[in-house]
Amino acid sequence: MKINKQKTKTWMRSFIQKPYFLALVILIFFFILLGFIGRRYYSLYNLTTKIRLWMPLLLVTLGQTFVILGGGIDMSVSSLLAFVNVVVVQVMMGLGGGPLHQIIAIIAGIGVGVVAGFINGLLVSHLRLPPLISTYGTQIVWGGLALKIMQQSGGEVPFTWYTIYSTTIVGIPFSVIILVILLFGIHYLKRSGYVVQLKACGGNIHGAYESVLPVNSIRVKSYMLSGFFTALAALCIVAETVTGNPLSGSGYELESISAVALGGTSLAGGAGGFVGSILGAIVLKLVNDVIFFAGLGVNFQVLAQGLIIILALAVGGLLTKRSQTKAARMRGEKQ
Amino acid sequence: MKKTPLALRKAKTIIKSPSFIAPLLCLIILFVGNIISPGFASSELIINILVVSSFVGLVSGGQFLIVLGGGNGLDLSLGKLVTLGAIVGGVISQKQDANLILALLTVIVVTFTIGLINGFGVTFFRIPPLVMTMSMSIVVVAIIKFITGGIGVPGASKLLQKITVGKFLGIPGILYIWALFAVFMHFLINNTTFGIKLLATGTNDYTASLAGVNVTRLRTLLYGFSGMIAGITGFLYLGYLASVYNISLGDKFTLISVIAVVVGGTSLGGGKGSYFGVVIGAFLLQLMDSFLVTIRIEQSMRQVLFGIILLVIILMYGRERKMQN
Repeated sequence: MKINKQKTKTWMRSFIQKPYFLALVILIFFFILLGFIGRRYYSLYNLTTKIRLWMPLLLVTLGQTFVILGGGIDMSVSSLLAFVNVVVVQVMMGLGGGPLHQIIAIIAGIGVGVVAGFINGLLVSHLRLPPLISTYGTQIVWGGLALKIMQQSGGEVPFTWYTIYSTTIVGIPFSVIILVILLFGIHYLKRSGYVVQLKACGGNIHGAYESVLPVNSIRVKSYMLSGFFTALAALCIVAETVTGNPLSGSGYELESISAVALGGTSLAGGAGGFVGSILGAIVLKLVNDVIFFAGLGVNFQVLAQGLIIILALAVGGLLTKRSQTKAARMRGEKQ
Repeated sequence: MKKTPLALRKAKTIIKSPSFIAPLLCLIILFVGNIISPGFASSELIINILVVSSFVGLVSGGQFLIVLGGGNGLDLSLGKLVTLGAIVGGVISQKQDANLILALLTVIVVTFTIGLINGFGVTFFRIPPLVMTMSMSIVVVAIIKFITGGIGVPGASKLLQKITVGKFLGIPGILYIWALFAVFMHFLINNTTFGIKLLATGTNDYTASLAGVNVTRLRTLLYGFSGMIAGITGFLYLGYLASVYNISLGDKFTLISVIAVVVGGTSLGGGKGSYFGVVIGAFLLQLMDSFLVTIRIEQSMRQVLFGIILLVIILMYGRERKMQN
């Protein structure tokens, strides 16, 4: 009995110490709150719609998580989103818009995303530019290229995109299926050791270098993954809006970084995970719904989003500070 | 190993240093611009470019202080604080010269407080500066929307316009303010204990704290100062624009202030840099922009070129150290 009790206690403690614990608490709180104030929030229709609208941020956040775990940051995701968006639409329309052309357009879009990520990675790793500044620079470049390809929103995408994207298979939305497949992919990367190597680079890059890890290629890959996920997010936006928009991505870099931080991943790199990022992204999206159903205006939505991030991270910061001082005290007692 | 002569090595470090490259680039752009479109390097146009870059330069001053303080310090709320400064200034002064002092004081108090909150979040609550200031900019947007509430904001009073764009000896007032500010910043960093503490903290905060610097208080204050500088700049910007045409008028300052600081040769790691570098960085960015306008490239390609040139400039001297065993 006693041992059992202790076991649950340690399990509980390890759970509380999970980096994403705070995001999870807020998420559950919001869900309960929405159950009360949200009218028919938990209808199947509403939830599938919501998940579809959350998808772009979820995907960008997953990509951003790779980069941040590796000790970098990707500020260019917002423009890249717009860039891929217009490339897909323009390639499809330029070719004629048949089924084969659509597939080519999708491949082109993903290719652009991966190549853009590769360039980001090259600048940061091989050319040794500071990640923040170099991705700021590429943000300007991708944004300009997006505007070059398409001056204003427009273009037409076959409506089948929307039908496929919003369809449900055995009650499960198509977007959720994509997400699950991607999560399996991430799980594979974890099993293969890539994520561990990435965290090693983010935690202590000189140490990683001295343990003969191919530091540069690991970091380049993380940016390529970010580009890949951003391209997928762009495809989701194309499917949802059925048009191209050269300004579609604005704000995504800030939102995705906030979501990653909310999920308990250290922005200094080296610690954190993907579950937290997903929870963080959903929390950010749920804030809007909570404020909406609470009957407050749009201005409050903006305010609440900012305040929630600050408060959540402040509480998280206080908790780590306390556990750090506690650990320091324990070390002091031992000596 | 081959040994390069000392003089050559010295020359190499000078050539690769930002204080050499940035002014050189300015001269090259002015020269080439003058060939392509005669009159590009005329004193009138240069003063115009200087006026536009003065606001960037002032805001970058705050950013510069924070970056210099180290600890991955960065303030992404400055752009919104510029807007807030302009709007609060406009609302309080109501186009009356008599209210100008009161308006300026209100702007200072409001933006300093917001900056301090940023600082507290970063130092006491250990929120990463990037996320803290980003979230704060969202909050500031909400505050701006509450203040304006869909109604227009009164423009600048006559006196404020006179102070910023009114010419004295052929030079607009804002340039005198910028010059004074630059001298003040230079003095602050090189000749005061505050500056020494700041540089020590930026170089290594642990040793600085051992040496008796209150790192937490210093960094918190830095965010306050930087917010205040952004607010005052916004107030002056109102005088330049004469009216608040748009509630996102200061947005561009966020990105450009970070870039100006880096182009000016300040290391993002902190502890190294000079404000005159930032001044040249701000001027260079504006000059580049004007040059791209002069050679008549369409807007999207101008943006692409601007980004690429920026990356090339940073490639020349903003690189991190190579890893060695």
